[in-house]
Amino acid sequence: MQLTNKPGNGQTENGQPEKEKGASVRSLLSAASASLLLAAPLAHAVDASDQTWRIDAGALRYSERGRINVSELNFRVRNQLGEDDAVSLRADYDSVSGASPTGAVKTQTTSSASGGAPTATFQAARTAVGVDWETSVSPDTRLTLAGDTSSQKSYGSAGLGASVARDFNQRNTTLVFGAGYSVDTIRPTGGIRAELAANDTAPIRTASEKKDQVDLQLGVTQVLTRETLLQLNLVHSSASGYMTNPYKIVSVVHPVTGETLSYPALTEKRPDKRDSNALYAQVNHAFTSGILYSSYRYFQDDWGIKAHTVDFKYRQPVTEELYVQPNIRMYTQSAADFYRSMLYNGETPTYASADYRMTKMHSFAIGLKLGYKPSSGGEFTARVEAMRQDGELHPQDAIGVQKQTDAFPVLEAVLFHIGYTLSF
Amino acid sequence: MPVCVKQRASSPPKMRSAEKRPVSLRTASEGHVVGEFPALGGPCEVLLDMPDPEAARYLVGLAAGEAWRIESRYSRYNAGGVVHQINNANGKPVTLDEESGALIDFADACHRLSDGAFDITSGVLRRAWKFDGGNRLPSPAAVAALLPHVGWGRAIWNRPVLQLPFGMEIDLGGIGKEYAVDQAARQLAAAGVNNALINFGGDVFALGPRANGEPWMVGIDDPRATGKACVRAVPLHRGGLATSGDARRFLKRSGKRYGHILNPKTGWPVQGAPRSVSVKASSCIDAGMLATFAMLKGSDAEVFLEAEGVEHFIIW
Repeated sequence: MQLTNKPGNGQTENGQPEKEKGASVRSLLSAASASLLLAAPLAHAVDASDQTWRIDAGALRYSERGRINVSELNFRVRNQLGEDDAVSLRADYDSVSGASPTGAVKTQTTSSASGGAPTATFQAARTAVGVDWETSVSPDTRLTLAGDTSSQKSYGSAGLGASVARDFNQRNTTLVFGAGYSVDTIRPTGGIRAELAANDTAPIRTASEKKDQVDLQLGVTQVLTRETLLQLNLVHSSASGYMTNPYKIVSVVHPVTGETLSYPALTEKRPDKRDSNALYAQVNHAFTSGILYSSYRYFQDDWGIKAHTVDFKYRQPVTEELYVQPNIRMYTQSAADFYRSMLYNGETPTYASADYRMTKMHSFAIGLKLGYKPSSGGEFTARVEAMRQDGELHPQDAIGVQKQTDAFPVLEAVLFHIGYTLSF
Repeated sequence: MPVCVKQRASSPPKMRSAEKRPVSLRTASEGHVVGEFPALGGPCEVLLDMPDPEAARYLVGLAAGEAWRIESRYSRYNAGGVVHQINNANGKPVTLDEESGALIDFADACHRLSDGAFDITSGVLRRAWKFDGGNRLPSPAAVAALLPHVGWGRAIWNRPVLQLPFGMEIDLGGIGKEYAVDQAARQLAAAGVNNALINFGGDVFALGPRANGEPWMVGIDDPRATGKACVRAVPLHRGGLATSGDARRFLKRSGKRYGHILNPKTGWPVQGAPRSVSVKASSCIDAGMLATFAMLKGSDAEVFLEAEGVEHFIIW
C-alpha cells in the first residue's frame, strides 16, 4: 500500500504505513482511493445498443381535399449481427388513388372563380423493398451499403448506395460521405407519347423510358455544447433521362382572348438533364425539459427552381412515458424556367410544363405528434398534420380571360400516421 | 425542478453471468436521458443531460460496459473472475494483475483505517448468518467455528501476490459497486461528459450539475419503507454519495434487532448501528467506505462522521 501522495504519512520500518496521529480517516481514505481509481486502464466502450433486433412499423394516411389519397404501410427490421455488423430490411407498400391536376387551365371563359381545376383520376399501388448493411471498418469509421428496388405498374426504380461515416474529436464530430446511383424505368399504360404534341392525337413514341441519377452527399454532425447539436448536409444530384410527366398536359389558348376554343392541349416536355444542390442544416437544442429541433433546407436546380424549407419541432415530455411534439413547417419555391400555366396558339416552346409542382408556390403545415414509451419497452407514436399549399392565382403569363380564372388550385391535405418501434 | 433519484442502502450482488442484459434508454419528463441496465446485483442508471440520443446511448454503454466488466472480474460467483480464482486457490499464492492488486491494496488500507472492523474476509460468516428478516439466530458455537477463517491479518499480501490460508475467502462486495461507479465516472469524464449522474444500486456519483446548473436531487431511501419512500432529498452538484444500511437485511429476536453489519472479531452484529448512513464525499468509493466505517462504529456512527467532518445523513 502506498500513500505517497499524502505528505507527512508515517511509514513503519517494514514499509507498511501506519495511521498517523491526527490524520483523519477521510483524508487517508481518499489518498488510498485515488491510487486505486487510477490503477485500471480506461476500457473500450461496450455498445449499449445491446438489443439485437429493432422493429419499426408504421401506417400513414394522406388525404388531399378533392384530390389524391395515399395509404402507406412501412416495415423495417434491423438485426445487429455482431459488434461490428448490422443488417436492415425495409418494406413499404403504398397505394395512391384519386385525381391530380393535369395542368390544363379551366376550360372556358366564365368569370366563376371557384371552379375546380381539370384533373385526371388514377390509381397506383407501389411496393418497395430495401436492404442496408452497416459495418465498422475501424473503431471510429462505419460503412453502410444500401440497395433498394420499388415497382408499380407504370414505374420501376432500383438503386445502390454507399456511405462512410467517421468520428473525430472524441465523437464530437462526425463526417459522412455518401454516394448513390439509381435507375428508374417509366412505362405508362399505353406507352410514352410524343412530347408537345396534341394531347388527343399524340403518337406513341416508345413503350418505356429511363432516367438515371447520381447523388453525392457530404455531411457533418458537430456537438456544439452539451445541449446543442448541429448537423449540416450537402447533397448534389445529377439526373439524366426522361423526366417529363407522361400524364400532364399544357393548355393552349387564343393569343389575344385567352379562350381555349378548340385548340387541343399539348403533352408536356421537360429537359432531360437536371442538376440540383440541397443544403440542409439542423440544430437540436435541449432546454431544461424539452428539445427543440430546428431545420432549414435550401434547394436549387438548373431548371430554375429555388426552394426554402423551415421546420420547427419541439418535443416536450409530459410524464416519463409520454411526450408531445408540435411542429410547423413552411415551404416556398420559385417556378421552373419552363413552367407555363398556358401556351398560346402557334407558340413552339422547347420545353413546357404546367404541373403545379413546377410553379411558384408556398405551403404551410402544422402538426402534433404524441409519443408513448411504456416502461415495458417499445414506443407508440401518433401524428396528425394539416397542410395548405397556395400558388399564384393569377400568373403574369395568363392571357385574356384566363386572367380571371384561378390558375393555381389550392391544395389542402391532412396526414395521419401511427407508428410502433420495439427493440429486443 | 429537482430530479429525485432513489438511493438505497446497497444489497449484496447476486451475480448472473453472461446472460443477455439490456440497456434501455428513455427521456425523463424533465428532459434528461435515463439509461438503465442491470449490473452488480441491482438496477443501475445513468442520467445524462444531452440532446443527442445516439451520443447518450453510446455514453450509457460506456458506463454499463464498465459495470459489467467489474462485475465479471470481482463477483464471487463468476467462475472466470479474479475473486473466484483467489477463493479457490486452496491455500496457494495467487499473483494478481495491476487493477486487482490495487483493489486488494485499497481493502488492506480500509482494514487498517477502520482498526480491523472492515474486513474483506468476513464474508465466511454468512454461512452462519442468514439475514432474511426472520428470527433465526445462529448458535454461538456455529459462529465461533467460523472465526478461525476470518481475519485479514491472516492473509499474506505482498503485492502482487496474495496468499489466503486454506478455508478463507475474500468478498469485494463492500467495495465493488462504489468502485464501479467511480470507474464509470472516469470513463464518462474522459469522453467529455460534464452533466451526468451515475447510480449503481444506490451508490451515486455526479460528474457535474445538470445542464442548467441546478444540482441533481438524490432521494435517500426510507429504510422503514424501502423502495417506496424517500426521507430526504440531497442536492448533489459533483462528487459521491453512498448509503450503507440494513433495510432488507436483518434478523429480529425477542424485540432486538440484529443488523447485517458483522463485527469480524466476534462474528456477531455490531451493536446499536443505525438503520442507514448516507455520506457525501469527493468520490463514490470514499463516500461508501465512510458510510460503512460509520456503520461499523455502531452507536458511535454519528460521533465518527462528525469528527471526520463529512456531510452525512443518519437514520436510526
